[in-house]
Amino acid sequence: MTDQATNPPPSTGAFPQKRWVRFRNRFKEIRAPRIFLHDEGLFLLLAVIIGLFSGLTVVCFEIAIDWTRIYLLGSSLAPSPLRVILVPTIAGLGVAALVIFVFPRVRGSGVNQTKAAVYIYDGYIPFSTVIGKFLACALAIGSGQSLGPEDPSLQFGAGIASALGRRLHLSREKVRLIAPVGAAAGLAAAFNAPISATLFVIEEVIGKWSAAVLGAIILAAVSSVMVLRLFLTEQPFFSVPPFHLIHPIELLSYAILGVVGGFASLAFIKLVSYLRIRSKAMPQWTHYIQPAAAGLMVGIIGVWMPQVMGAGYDIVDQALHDQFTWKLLALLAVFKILATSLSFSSGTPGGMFAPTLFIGAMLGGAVGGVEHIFFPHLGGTVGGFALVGMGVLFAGFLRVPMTSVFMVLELSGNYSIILPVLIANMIAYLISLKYQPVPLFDMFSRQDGTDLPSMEEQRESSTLRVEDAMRPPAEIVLRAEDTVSDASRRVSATTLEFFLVSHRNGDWTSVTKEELRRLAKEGKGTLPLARALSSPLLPWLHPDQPLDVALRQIGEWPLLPVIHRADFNNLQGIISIADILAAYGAASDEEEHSKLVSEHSGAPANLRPEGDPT
Amino acid sequence: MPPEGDRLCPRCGQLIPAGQTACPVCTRPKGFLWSLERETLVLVSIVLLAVFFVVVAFITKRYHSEQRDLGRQWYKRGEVALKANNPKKAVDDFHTALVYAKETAAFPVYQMSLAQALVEADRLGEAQVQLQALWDQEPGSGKVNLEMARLFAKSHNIGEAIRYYHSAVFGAWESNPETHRRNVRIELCRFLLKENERNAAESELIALQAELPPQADLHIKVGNMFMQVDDYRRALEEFQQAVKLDPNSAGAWAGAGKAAYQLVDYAQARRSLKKAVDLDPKDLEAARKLEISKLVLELDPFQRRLSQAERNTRAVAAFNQAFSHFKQCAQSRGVNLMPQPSTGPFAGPYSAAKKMQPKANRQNLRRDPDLVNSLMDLVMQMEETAQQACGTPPAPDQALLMISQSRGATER
Repeated sequence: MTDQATNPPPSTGAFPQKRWVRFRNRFKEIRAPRIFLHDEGLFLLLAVIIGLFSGLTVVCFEIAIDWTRIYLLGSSLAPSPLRVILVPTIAGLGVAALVIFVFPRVRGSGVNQTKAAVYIYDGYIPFSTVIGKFLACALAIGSGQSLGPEDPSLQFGAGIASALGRRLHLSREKVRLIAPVGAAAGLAAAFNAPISATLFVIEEVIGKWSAAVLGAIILAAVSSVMVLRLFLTEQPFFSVPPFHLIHPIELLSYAILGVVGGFASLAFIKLVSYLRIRSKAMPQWTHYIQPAAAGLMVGIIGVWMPQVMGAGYDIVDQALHDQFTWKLLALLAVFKILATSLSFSSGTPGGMFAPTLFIGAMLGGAVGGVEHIFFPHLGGTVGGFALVGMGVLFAGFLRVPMTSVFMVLELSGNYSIILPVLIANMIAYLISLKYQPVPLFDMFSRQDGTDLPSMEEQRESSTLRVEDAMRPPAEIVLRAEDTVSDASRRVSATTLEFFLVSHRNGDWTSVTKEELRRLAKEGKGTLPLARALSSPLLPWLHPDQPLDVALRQIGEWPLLPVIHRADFNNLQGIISIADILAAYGAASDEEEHSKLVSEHSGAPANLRPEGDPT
Repeated sequence: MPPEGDRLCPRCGQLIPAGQTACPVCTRPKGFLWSLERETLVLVSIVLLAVFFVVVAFITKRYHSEQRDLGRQWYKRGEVALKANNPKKAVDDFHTALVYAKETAAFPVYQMSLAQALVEADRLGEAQVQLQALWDQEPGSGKVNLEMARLFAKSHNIGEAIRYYHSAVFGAWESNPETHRRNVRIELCRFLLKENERNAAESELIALQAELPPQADLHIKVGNMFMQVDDYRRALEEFQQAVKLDPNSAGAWAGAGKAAYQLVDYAQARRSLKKAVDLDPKDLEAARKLEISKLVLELDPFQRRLSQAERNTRAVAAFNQAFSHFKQCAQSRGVNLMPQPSTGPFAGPYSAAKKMQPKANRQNLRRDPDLVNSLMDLVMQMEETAQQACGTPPAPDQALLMISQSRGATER
C-alpha cells in the first residue's frame, strides 16, 4: 500500500467527495447479522413489509382525497353550483397535464396496468407510477370526478411491491409474483376487506394460486388492513342494517334484482366501452381537455345530483338505511353510470369499484322499493336489496363472481344474506357473460393494444385431458410372468415393435420385438419377462390428467400406458406423442372456429387494436 | 430448455451464454443500492417503514383533529338553525356534522340532534332510521327511548309510543334519573290525554302520584291532569297537598276549589275558591265558580242543619226564581205562554208550574213538608228546559240547576 493510500494528501475541492466515498465504503462493510434469508422466507417477510407499506400509502391516499375535496369543494356536502361546475373542470385540466406531461403511465384504473406488469414487464412497475397515480387520482377524485380509490390503491400496492422486490434481488419469477401480492395489499386496505381483495387478485390478476403465493397475499392483505384500521377506522365502510331472510319466497325478488342488475351491467359496459373508443379516437389535442370536459359534465350533473360526485360511500350508506325513495335511487343509478362513464373514458385516472358499488346499491334499492309497492308479499327490506345490489353489479360489471359474493358477506357481516347474494349474483353474471363475452378489463386491454391473458377465458375454456388424446389399448399387452418364448410367440404375428409389459405390483415396463429375439437367442426363452428384462419402469398416466402432464412425461417413449386410478393393472388406453399433438391440433382448430363465430356474431369492434379510429 | 451449452441463472433466470461463468445481468455494474446485501436492504426497509409509520401517525392525528373541528362547526350551525326554527337547514348541517364526526364520542350526540331536527322537519321516516341506529347501540338509554317515543307519538302510533315511553321511564339516564323519569311520565300522561286514552292516562297518573316529590307545582300539574280524566277525588288530594306545600299558591287553591266543586262539596269549594280569588283576582273561572258555590250554599234548601222555615223559604224562593227565568227564556224564544201552550218543551213544565204556583208559599209548605221535593223537582225541570233552550243560565239559575241535579248534598 502506498503512502498515498494510507495517508491521503489533503485535498482542496475534492474533500467532501472523498468523505462521501469513505462513508459509502464504510457503509458497505456494515453487515447485518447473517440471517440468510432464502427466497421463500424473504418472500413471506416481504409480503408483510409490502402490506404495511401499502396500508400506510392507502391511508395517506384516503386523507389526500378528503383534504383535496375539502380544499376544492368545501366542507359542505352540498357545495354551491358554481363550485360544483368549476372545480372538476379546472382540476381536470390539472389531471390532464399530470397524465400527459409528467406521469404518462398513470392512465386507467390500475388493474390492467398491474396485470401488464405481471405478464409483460416481469413485474416491473416504476415507482414514479405510484407517485403519479397518487397525485392524479387524489386530485381527480377529490375534485368530484365520479371514480373510486380502490383500483389506484391496488396499483400502489403493486408498485411498492415491485420496487421492493427489485431492490431485494428477488428472482425474476418472484418479482413477477410480488406485484399481485402488493396489489392485494393495496386493495385490501382500500376496501377494508382482506378476503375480497385476496379473491379479486386471484380471480382477476393471477388466475390461479399456489400455497406460497396465497400465503404471501393473505399476509400482505392482513397487514395492510391492520394498518388502515389502526390509523383511519375500525368500522366497515358501510354500517349495514341487520338482514334476515324471513321466507324463501323472498329469493324470487332477489332473482328479479339479479336480472335487472345483469342488464344494467351490460348497459354500463357498453356505455363505457363506447365512450372510451370515441374519446381515444378524437384528435390528439382534445386529450388535453377531455378530463376537464368530463369534469364539466359531471359538475353539471352534480348541480342537480351532488350525490354522484366522488366515490359516494356516504350515499351508499344512506341507501342501505332506506333514506331515499325508489325514484331517487333509480335516478342516482342512471346518472352515476353516466358520470362514471364520462370520467373514466376521458382518461382521468381512477377506479371503478366504488362507482360499481354505488350503482349496485342504488339499483338494488330502487328494485326493492318498486317490489315493496307492487309485490309487498314478496318481502325483503330496501336496505337488503341495496346490499345485494352491490354484489350484483360487482358480478355483472366487473365479472368477478366469487369476489362479489364474499365482498357482500364481508361488508355485511351477516351470513343469512348468502342465499340472495348467490342467486342474484349468479343471474347477473350469466346475463352479462351471455351478452358480453369479453369481460370489462380484457376489453380495456385490447382497446389499449395489449393482449393480456383473460382469467375468465381461462376459467371458461376447457382443459384438454389425457382421455381426449389416448387410444384404446388394441395392441398386445404382455405380462411380466409370461416367459420370453411365450411372449415372442404372441408378438410374432404382429408388425408392431414396441410392447407394454404389465407387472403384478402395478408397474409397467416395455419390451421390443428385437429384444425378445435377442433374449431367445441367448437361451433365456424359459425365463419370465420380469427376470429377463432390465428395462426401466415406464411413467404412467391417468385419463383425467391434463394433457400437458402427458407431454412432459412422454419424453422419448413411443407409448405410455394410461391406467385406472384405482387399479394400476387396468389399462384404459395408450398414448403417444403423435396422439398428444393431434389432440392439441384439433383443439386449436376448434378455438379458431369459435373465435370466428363470435366475431361474426357481433362481438364488439372494441377488439380492434389501439389507433384504429373506427 | 436453453440451447446446448447455455444455462439459466438460478438467481435472476436470465440466460448465461456458453463460455461465460457469471450471469451478465447479475454482474452488470449497478447502483449503490444493488451492492448492499439483501438482509441489509430488508433492515433498511424496516427502518423506512418505521419512519413512514411515524409520519403517517402525525398526518392522521392532524386529519382526525380537523375532522372533529369540522364536525363541531357544522353541529353548531345546526343548533343555530334549529333554534331559528329552520329544521331543514338544521338537518343538512347535522348530516354534514355526522360525516365528519364518525367514530368520535360526539357522534351519538350529533345523531340524536339530527333525529330531533328530522322530527321537527316532519321527516319521520328518516328520523326513525337515525333513532333506530341509536337504539340498536343503546337500547337501554332513557334519552333514546324518549325520542323514539316522541317520534311514534307524533305519528299517533299509541302502542309503540307507550312502549318507548315506558322504556324511557325505566331506562338509564346519565344525570338526575328521577327527574327525567318523572318528566317522561308527565309527558306520557299528556300524550295519552291528547289521544283521549283516559284509562291509560289515569293508570299512569296514579303511578306518577306515588313518586312525586314535595314540590307544589308538580302536585298542581298532576292534579290538573287528574281533573282531565275526571278523577276529582285524586285531583283534590293533589291540590290539597300542593296547598300544604305552598299556601300562597293561587293555582293550588283554585284547583282544590274546582275539584271540590266537581265533587259537589260546595262548602269546600267556596273556601278554596275564595282563597284562590283573593290570591289571584284575575282568575275569572275561579271567581265564577266561587259565585256559584256561594249561591248554591245560599239557595240549597236541602242543606243540613237548616230549620224547616228556612228550608221552606229557600224552596219558595227557588221556585219563584226558576219560574221567572223559565218565563223569560220562553219569551226570548218567542214562545207565547198565554194561553198555555199545548206542545213544545215549555208546555209540560209551564203547566205543572202554573198548577204548583198557588201552593208555592210558606204556609202550604209548613203544612206539607214533602211539597219541598215536588217544588224542587219542578225547579229542576224548568231550569233544565230553560238551559236547553236558552243556554248557560245566569248564576242563580245555574246554582239552582246544580242543586237540583245533586240533590242530597249537605254542608260538611
